[in-house]
Amino acid sequence: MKDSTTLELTEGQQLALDQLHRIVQASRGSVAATHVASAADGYVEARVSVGCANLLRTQGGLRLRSVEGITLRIPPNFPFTAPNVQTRHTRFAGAPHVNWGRHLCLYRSTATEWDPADGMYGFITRLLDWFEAAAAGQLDRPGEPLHPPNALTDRTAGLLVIRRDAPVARPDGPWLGAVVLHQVNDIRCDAVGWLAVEDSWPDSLEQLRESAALPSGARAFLAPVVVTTKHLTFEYPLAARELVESLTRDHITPRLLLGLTGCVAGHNRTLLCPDADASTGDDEDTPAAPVHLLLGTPSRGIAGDGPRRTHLVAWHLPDFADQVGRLAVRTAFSGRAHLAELGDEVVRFGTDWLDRQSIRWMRVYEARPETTVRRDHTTPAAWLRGKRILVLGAGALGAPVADMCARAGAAHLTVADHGLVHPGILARQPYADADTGYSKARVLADRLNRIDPHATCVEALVDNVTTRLSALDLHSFDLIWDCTANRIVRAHLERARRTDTASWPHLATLMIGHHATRGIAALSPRGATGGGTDVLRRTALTARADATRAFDDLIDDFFPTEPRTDLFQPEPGCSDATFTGSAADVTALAGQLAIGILHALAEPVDRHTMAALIVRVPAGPTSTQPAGPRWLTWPNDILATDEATGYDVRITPAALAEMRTEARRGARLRGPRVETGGPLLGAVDDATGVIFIDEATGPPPDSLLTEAYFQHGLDGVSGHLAARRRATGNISRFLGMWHIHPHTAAQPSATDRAAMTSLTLPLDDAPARALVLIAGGPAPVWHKWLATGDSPDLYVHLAARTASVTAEPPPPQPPAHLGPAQWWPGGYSTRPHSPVPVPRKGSRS
Amino acid sequence: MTRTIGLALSGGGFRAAAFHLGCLRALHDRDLLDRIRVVSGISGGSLLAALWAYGPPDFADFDARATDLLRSGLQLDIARQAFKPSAAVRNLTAAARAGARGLFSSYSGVSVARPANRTDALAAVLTHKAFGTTTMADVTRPGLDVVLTATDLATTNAVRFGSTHSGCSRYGTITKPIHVAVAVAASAAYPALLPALERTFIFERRDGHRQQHTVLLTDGGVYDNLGLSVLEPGRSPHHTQHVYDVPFIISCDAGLGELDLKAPHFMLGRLSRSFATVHRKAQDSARSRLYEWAESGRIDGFALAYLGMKDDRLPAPPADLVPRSAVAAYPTNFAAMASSDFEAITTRGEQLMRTVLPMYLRPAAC
Repeated sequence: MKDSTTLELTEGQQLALDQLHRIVQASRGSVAATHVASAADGYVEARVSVGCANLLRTQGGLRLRSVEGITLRIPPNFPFTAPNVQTRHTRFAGAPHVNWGRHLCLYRSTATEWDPADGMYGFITRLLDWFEAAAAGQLDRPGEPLHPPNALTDRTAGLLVIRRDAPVARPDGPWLGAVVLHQVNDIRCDAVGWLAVEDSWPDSLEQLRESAALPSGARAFLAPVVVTTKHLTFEYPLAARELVESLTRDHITPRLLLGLTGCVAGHNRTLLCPDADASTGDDEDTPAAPVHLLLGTPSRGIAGDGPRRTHLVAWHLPDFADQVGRLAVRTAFSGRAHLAELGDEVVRFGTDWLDRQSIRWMRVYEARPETTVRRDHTTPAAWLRGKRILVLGAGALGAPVADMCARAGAAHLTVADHGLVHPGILARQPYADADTGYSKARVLADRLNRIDPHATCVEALVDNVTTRLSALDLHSFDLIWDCTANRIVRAHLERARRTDTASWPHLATLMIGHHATRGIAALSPRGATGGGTDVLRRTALTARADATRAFDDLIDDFFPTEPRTDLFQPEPGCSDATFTGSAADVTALAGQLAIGILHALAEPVDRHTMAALIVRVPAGPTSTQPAGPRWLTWPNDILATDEATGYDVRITPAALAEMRTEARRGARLRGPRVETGGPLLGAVDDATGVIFIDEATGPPPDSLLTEAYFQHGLDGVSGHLAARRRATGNISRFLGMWHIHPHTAAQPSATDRAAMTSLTLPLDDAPARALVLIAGGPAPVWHKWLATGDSPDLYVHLAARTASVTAEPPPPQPPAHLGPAQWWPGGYSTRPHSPVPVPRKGSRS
Repeated sequence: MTRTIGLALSGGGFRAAAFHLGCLRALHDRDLLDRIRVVSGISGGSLLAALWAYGPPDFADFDARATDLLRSGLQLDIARQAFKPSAAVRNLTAAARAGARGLFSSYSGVSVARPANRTDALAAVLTHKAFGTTTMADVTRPGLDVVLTATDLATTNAVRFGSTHSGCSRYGTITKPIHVAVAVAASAAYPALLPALERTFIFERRDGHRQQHTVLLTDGGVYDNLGLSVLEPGRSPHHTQHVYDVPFIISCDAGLGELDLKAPHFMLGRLSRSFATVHRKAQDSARSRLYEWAESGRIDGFALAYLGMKDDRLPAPPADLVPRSAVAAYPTNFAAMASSDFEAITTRGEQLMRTVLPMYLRPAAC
C-alpha cells in the first residue's frame, strides 16, 4: 500500500484505507493491497489480491487462481456507501452473483446487510466469504432463490409489470406466442395473459379484454414472446448481434423472430384498427402498437425445490420492427412460392437490421404469483384475500380498516357512509383538502380502487346505513365491520341479525374511547347468538364483574353509569360531539383492533364464541403504562322465543347452570318432584326485540316449595336486586321469575296463567312486565338435563302486569286431592317444614 | 368430560371437614365434581378429600357417610385407643388385624423405636371407621388424583401422599404403597392436638438410589394450610412428582382469619420449629397467591370459599346466610359435632361456594 498520503482523500476514504492497511498487516500475506489511485468518479481504487490457494474447491465451483486480484472501489462517502469490487478480467462472467462480467455481487441488500460500523473489516470478510463460496460452487445454495439474470435497463424504454404466471418451453422446443399487454399509461404495460401461436387468438379488442378480464375501455395489445428451453446468460448484452447469436444456438433464428414479430404486429392491426384496409397501405409506417419483444429463459429459481420458472426480459424494439416483421410475414411466411425469394431477401435485410441495433431493455417488475410472495402472507390479514367485505362508516376507524382490507386483497369491498368530508376531519381521517364537500364513501372508494384494481373492486354506498340495510344482500359478505360507533346502527344490525344468525356474516363492531386511548372490538362470528349490541353489553357486565378491577378505565370510558358531561364539539354549535384523538391514535387503534379480529377469524377456536378485544395505546416513557391487549370470550347463549312478542330470549349458560344447580339441589334434598324457582335478572330491549337473561338465583328463604307448586318468596330479594343493579351499573335488573316443572311439560299450569297478571313481585320498583320462564320436560328430557346439562324444554313468556303492585298474590292453592302435602322452605334449608295445614282448593302451578 | 379443576381443601379439623362437605354439596349441585382433576387436602381437608375420593361413587352415599363420621367424632375413639388399651382391644379388632398386616409402618427389616401415640391411634380409628386397608392408589373416581400433605418436622419439608406417588422432594419417592388412613392421620396430626407421627420409609431418588429415612409427620398445615402449593401452575417436574397444571382452582379455606392467631400461643412451647414454618408460609399470602396467579394469567380462573370471610364483603349474600359469628367459635378438633354446629358450618360452606362460583370461574369451566 502506498501513495495514499499524496491522494485527495475524503475523511471516509482515509478511514477505509487505514482499515484496509490494518487488515493487510494482520492477514499475514493472504490479503495484499497495491496501486491506490483516484478514479474519475471520485472513487479511490486499490488493487487487492486475495490468496485463494487454500480454499476448498469442488467440481461445480468457480475455477480460481492461487491469488485472485480484484479492484476495490471506495466511494467518497465511505462508510455510508458500501465499496464495491470488480475484476480486471472476465473469467467469472456467467457465474451467479457476477454482474456485467466484472462486478462481484456481495450484498443482496446493502440497506440491511452493510453495517457502516463494521467498515472495511466487514467488507473484506464478505469478500473472502464470496471467494470461499465461489470455490465451493455455493454462490447459489440449494433451496435459496436463484440470482436472476441481469439486463441493464433503460428507463426510457418503458416498464413492464408481469401479472400472470409465464409459460415455460417444453424440452423439444421454444414456446412461441404473444403476451396480452394492458397499457396502463405512457410508460407502463401490464402483462395480463399469454397466447401460444397454436392457440386461437381473440378476433377483436373486446374479446381480448374479456379474455384477460380487463375493463371495457382498457387499452390492450399483443407483444411477441419467445421462451427458450435453455438458460442463456446471467447478463444480457446491449448489442443485438450478441443476443441474436445466442438465440440462434437455441434454434431461434432471426427469421423466426421477424416472423413472430410480424405476425403479432399484424394481429395488433386487426385488433386495434379493424376498419383500416391492410392492403391499401394506409398508415403503413405507423405501428398499431409499440413492439416489445419478451424473452423468457428458465433462469428463475425460487425458494425451495422445484423446476426453474421463466425469467423474463423485454426488448423495446424500434417501430421499424413492426414494418419489417409484417413484410416478412407477407413474403417469407406467405406460403406462396413466387414470394419466397423476396421473402428471403426481406429476412436477410431484417437480420442485418437487427444486428445493427443496440438493445433497449425495458424495466420488468414482477407481480406474478409464481415468483412473488405477498409481504402479508403469514399475517392474519391474509384471511381477507378474496373475501367480500362490508365496511360501515368511512371515518376515523372505517377508513383505515377499509384501506387495510383493500391492501390485503379483498375481492370486493363496499364502504358505506352518508357523511361528507369536512375540513376538521383531515386532522385524523385519510382525506385531502380537495375532497372537502364530497362524499366520504365515494372519495374513499375511488382511492381504494386505485390500490389494486386487478384484485379488488371497491364500491361506495352513499346513504344512511340503517335505511339501506335491507336493500343490501348481507349474506353475500364474508365480514361486516361496523365502524360507525353508532348505537342506532348497532341496534339495527342486532335486530336484522337476530332471526338469521346462522347465515349472517361475521360481524365486528369497533369503537374507540373519548380520548382515542382505548378501543374495543366486539366480534360476533357467524352463528354467534349475539350481535354487536349484545357483545358490548356483556363486555360491560364482565368488566364490572372483574374482581381485579382491571377494567375500571374501560368502564369509565365506554360504559359509565352517568352520561358523560365533557363532550367534545370541535365546531361548537354545528357539529356532533366526537372524541379527541390524532391520526396516530385512531390509526393505531384501528390497526390493533383489526389485527385482533383477523386473528380470531383466521384461527377460530370455536366458531360460536362471542369475543371482545380491548386495546390501549401506549403512554409516555415515564408514565404508568396501560395494560396490554385483553380478550374476553363468551359461549353462545341458550335461545328461546317468546311466542307472544316474537322476542329472542337469550339465556346465558351461567343463568341456566344456576337453575340446573337449584334443580339438582332439589333432587338431592327434596326428592325428584318438588318444584323450585327464583328471580331472573337481565333486561328487555324492545328496539332489537331481545330479552337478556343474565342471572338466575335460587328461591328466597320464605318461598314455598311443594310437588304441586312453587310460590316465590320475598326475603332478601329487594336487597339482592339492588346489589346486582349497583354491581352491574344498572345493566342487569329484575326481569322476572323462573320455576321448574320436573318430569312434566314446560307449559304454564292454570295457576301459572292466573298468576301472570300479577306476576311481578310486590316490590317497590317492580316493572310493569315480567318474564315467566318454566324449565321442564318429560322424564327423559328432565333427567338428561340434570345428569348431563343438555338444555331442558323451556317456556318463556313476557307477561304484562295488570293487577296492582300492592295487591297480594293469590294464596297458594295446592289441589286438595293430594292430601296432606309436604312442603319445603326456600333458601338453603335442608329440611322440610312439618305437615302444613292442607290448602283446600286450587290448581297445580 | 375434561377434568380441568384443581380442588384444594384446607386444614382445620372437623370444622374444615364440615365446611368442605358443604362446599362439595355446592360443587355437586353445580355438577363440577366430575371436572376435578386433582384434590389436594390438608389435615381436616385431607380427611374429607379422602372420604370423597376413596368413598362411594354416589354423592348421596358419600354425604351420608361423611355426615355420620363428623357427627359421631373421632376424638373419643382416639382417647380410647390411646389410653384404654383394654377397650381398644375390644372395639378395634379390625384395626388390630390391619396393624398385623404391617399397616402402621414399613419396617423393611429394620426395627425403629416407635412408641404408639395418639396419632397412631387416629390412624387406627380411621382404618376402623373409614378407610380400612385402602391404599392411596385405590381412588374410586377414575381420572381423579389425590394429594394429601403432611409436614416432616425433622426437615420441615412437605411430605405428600398421592394416588400416583408419595414422598418428599428431599428424599424421593416412597417405594411401598401407603394406606389412606396413615396418610390422613399424618396430615391431620395438628400440633396443638396430636403428637407427630413417626414413620420409617424406603425412599427412591430419581437416579434409582434407595435409602431409608425416618420422618416425623405432623399436620400439613404447618407447611401450607390451604393445600394450594401442589396446584401452583408451572411447577417443574424436576422438582416434584406432583405436576397437574390445572387451569381452574377451587380453594375451600376453613380458616377463621384473625382468630387463627390464637393457635400459635398454644403451640409455642412444644413446637417452636413448626411455629417458624407457619410464619414462613402465612395463610394470607397463600390466598393472595391465587389472585396473583389469576391476574398474571397463569391460571384461567379460581373460586375461593373462605369460612372466615366477612359477611358484608360478599357481593350478593343469600338471604339466609349462616353468619360468620355462628361458626367462628367452633374449635379445631376431631370431636363429635353437634347437629346445630354441623348444619351451620356445612350450610355456610355450601352458601359461600355457591356465591363465589359464578363470580370467579369463567363460564367455560362451569
